[in-house]
Amino acid sequence: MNCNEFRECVCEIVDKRLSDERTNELMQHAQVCSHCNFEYRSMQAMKNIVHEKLKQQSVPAEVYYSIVNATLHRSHSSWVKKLFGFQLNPVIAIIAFAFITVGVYSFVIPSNGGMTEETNIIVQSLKNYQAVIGGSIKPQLVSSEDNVRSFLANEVSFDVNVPKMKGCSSCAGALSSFNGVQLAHVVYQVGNKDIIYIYQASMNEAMEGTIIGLPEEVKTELQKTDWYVQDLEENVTLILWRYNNTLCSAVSKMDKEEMIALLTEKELK
Amino acid sequence: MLPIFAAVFQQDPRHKEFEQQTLPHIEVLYNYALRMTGNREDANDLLQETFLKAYRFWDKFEQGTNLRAWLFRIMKNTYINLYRKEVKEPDKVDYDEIEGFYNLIRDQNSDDNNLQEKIFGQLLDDDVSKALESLPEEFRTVVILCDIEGLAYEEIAEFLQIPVGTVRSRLHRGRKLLYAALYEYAKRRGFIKKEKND
Repeated sequence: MNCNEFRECVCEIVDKRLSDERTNELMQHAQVCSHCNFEYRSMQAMKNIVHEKLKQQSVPAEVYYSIVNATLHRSHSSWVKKLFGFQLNPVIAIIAFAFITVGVYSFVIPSNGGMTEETNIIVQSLKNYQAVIGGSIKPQLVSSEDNVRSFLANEVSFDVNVPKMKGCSSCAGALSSFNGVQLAHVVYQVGNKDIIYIYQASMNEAMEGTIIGLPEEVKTELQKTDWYVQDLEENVTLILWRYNNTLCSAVSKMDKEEMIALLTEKELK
Repeated sequence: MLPIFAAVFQQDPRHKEFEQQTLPHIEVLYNYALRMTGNREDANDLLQETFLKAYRFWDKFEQGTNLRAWLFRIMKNTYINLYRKEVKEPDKVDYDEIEGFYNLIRDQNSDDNNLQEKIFGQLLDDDVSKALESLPEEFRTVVILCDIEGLAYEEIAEFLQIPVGTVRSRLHRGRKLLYAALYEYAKRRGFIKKEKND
């Protein structure tokens, strides 16, 4: 064994590509050669520092959407054009692929009636919001608020809330069921990048049902004021409110005050 | 679902196939783009350009072959076309000179078992990012793919269309260059006594 042989293999030791036998053989040399030992430790340190300091980054939602949108627009046959006779606005298309099966999180659930992550509306709202942002959820319909409302209203027994929102550049909707409980999902894109996701279910199911539910303190607050606001992780805000016989649970990363202002506008009530 | 909405879902099959197959690789490509360009804006542009080209040439992709490698090569060529033309490459690194510097550090510190911790434990993420960006592209690429993306030498070799032995030697040199660059950062930040190597 000489230093050249060791140095030729040092990265393979660090990257664990060699057999134990070969690694031991090489490391025996490093134990008696301070230069090769230094080389081994420095290579290991480089691998560690790059791995630890330069974490993998997630693709930002707006980048993901813009890519899907850009390739979709190069698709020679637009389904929107075929169906409605007009081309989908690029901004609307940005969230067209935002939903991939809303309710993926909701479909597979235990039904023990207890309050678990899967049955907790707040947790599910946040997870669905993250799935929208992460691009793993696709819409069933991207259209005007009126069309989204009609689509959802035809399928669920509670009053669907799809208000016209100031600054909204696109609106999308989807339906799912959770152990037989109907759920409606609405997503707005506000301006260029803010996204608001609204989970909707029957108020009765949310407050008294056993399949989905809310923590007791949240129920109490809703009963008192019809509103509940909570700061979730990483500047994400959750707002719950009653709309007729419907519980709405909105999640967004937009400025909290701005979000509250949008959701409390006269026409939303 | 209502029949009308089922109809809405009849997406262009070519686009659907493209989307289903390529989007799972978007993260690895984005991270590569981020580390190659050094900023989010350029990384976003590079990623989008890569997917647009991939879509344009989707018919040319041979199903059953390594899609990630195919996408990666498109991104690498796009990067070269977009950025090498516009941004003058930083002065070519004199590898021999840097290796000499690395050897000097080694000669003077080979008995110090705690050196790596002393130097690198305190560096900022940004220091590491900038040091990596300062590496010549051929070395930077293998370090990114191996140490950030966690790819095997064989896959890196397929991406870059070079022998596995070349991946190994580029990785060795890349890590040495990175070491020398980070050592300089550490010295500037006062983590290493200047007189030691000055």
